[in-house]
Amino acid sequence: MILEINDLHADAEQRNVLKGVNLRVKEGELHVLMGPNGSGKTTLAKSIMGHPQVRITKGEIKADGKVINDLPVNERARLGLFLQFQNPIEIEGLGIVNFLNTARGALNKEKISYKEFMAEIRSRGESLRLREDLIGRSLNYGFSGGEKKKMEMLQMSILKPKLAILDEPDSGLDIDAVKVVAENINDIRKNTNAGVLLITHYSRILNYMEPGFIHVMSEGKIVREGGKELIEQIEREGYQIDGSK
Amino acid sequence: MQSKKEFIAEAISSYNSMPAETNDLYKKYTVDIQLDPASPETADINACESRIERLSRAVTDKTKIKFDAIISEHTTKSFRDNVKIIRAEDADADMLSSKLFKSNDDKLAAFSNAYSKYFIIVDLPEGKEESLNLLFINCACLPVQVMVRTGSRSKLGMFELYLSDSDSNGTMSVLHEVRVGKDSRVELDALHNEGTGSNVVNLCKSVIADCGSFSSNFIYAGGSTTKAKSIIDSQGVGSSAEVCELAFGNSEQKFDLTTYMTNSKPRSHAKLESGAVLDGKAHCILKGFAKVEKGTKGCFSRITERGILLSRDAHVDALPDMAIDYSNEVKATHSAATSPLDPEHLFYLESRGMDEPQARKTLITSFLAKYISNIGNGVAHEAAMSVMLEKLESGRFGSMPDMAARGVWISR
Repeated sequence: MILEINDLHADAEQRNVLKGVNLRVKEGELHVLMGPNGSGKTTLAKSIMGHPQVRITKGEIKADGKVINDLPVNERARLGLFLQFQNPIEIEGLGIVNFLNTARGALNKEKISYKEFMAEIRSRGESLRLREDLIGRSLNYGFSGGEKKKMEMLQMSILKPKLAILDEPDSGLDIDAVKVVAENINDIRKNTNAGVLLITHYSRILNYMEPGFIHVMSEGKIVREGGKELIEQIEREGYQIDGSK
Repeated sequence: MQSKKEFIAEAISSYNSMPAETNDLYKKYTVDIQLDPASPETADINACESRIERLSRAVTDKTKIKFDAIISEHTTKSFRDNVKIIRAEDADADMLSSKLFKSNDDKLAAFSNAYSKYFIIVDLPEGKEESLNLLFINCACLPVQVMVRTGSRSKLGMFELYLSDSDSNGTMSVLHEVRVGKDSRVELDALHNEGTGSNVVNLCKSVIADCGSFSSNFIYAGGSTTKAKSIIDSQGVGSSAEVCELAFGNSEQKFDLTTYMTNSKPRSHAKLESGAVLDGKAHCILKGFAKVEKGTKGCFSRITERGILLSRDAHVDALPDMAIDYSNEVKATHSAATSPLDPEHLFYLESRGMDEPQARKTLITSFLAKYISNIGNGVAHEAAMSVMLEKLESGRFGSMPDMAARGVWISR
């Protein structure tokens, strides 16, 4: 999948948050989006997925050349888009296995036997070092912040999107967990050739990954782009490098 | 001791004279119910019986549940020795005088004492373990009393399924009295799925001896008006009571669910979880009152009330209330929350490929499942879930009109 964002302007909570974002992510590519708090990173992620409270006022979002500005959320998911939530919700009473099975069905994924399905969940859970008993529980209910992030990665690995937007997969994780999550993202990318747009505040997770593109966002726009060297610069100088502060 | 005649006379008088609600706090929050103690002679007995016969066969075929007793207005069958069914006129004065529910306790208890047709008596001896399934089918008016007594170290699981033979008006009234013996466990699960014209009354009074445990799961999915009252006394040291009640209604269904729990001994536990999922113009009142008495060191009491509104006209009144006489070394909490489906939850599920109706259904099912999961009895659990799913399938899950609103409503 090729995701193209052209001159995107969007409002959220009656505030103009995105002020002309341009971005292009192709399959297999790993893009990193960084930027200070409130710069519009999460709003951009939500707008790509079609959050109803983000209103696009100008510009377009294209998936494989097709404008998806008005496409319902589930249709975007069916095209192969996946959003890993910064703050995953808890749904008591919704069993994880049942949820994943329903989601697979909704995404028209290839049918597999229950045994194969469970084996895949277990194996993915193991590689994420998720406690096995969590799989039998309600979705994210009573999970720690780190467990919720890992559950999002588990969903990604089972649902196999074509393009994943990962909104701070590393926040709230301890050092070991950051490495585990990074390795899993690498693994999923390798297996599915999915494109990834990774939003993060910290360079730590990038120590375990090879991003091809770094974008810095500030005040609703991408103000700087480059390769991995940009991360070192941000580490040294902070986001002031964009010159807008 | 009162004679049987005096007992009945007092019950009729109490029923006629008592107000519907005696608790001042709750007077504003009460649903009126019209109970009609119609005599069997007014109904066409043969037609009624043949409908009931057909329905009980159909239910058994569909659910594969083997019922240990079937109770309807004109016929009763018990297939187990420890389920005794006696006609009310055969109850002796001793039995009536030892009842937990006195007629002057409550108007609905008075109705039951005055007009009950049958007493279903379940007596489980010391050290025994039993699982029972009871089917109640109402034709016009079926007031019954279920008296449960367990000996020490025994374990009883009881599932009661309530149906009507049609959607026409009728009254289903059941009064439970449960005496849980020392070190005994009783789980009482009841699924009310009466016809849409029915008035439903469910009363339950339970006393729990030392280290005994009582859990009840009452699910109300049918009936036009439902009034329920549970009075649970954890009067044994180390005893435990868990009450779970769930109302699932639409159109103009009304539910009035009240639970009184008392921790009267140290290390006793009492927990109430009430929930309602309402569509249309349905209305539910959830009243939970917990009392923690003096000298109850190490006890625990919790009330949780939750409502999900699926339409703008649905309404939940949640009134959690506690009175704690001894504030040291006890844990007591209460909470209440009612809301429409959360738009963020819907967005999350839709981002995983579910369309809007499927996402709504998933959220509603999850909410229901949370309550139904308290049911330990596999048969009861499956029956409750399948009734709920069937209702959900037949419901409407229209388009989402306005995400900017505080919640998400079903369009009509």
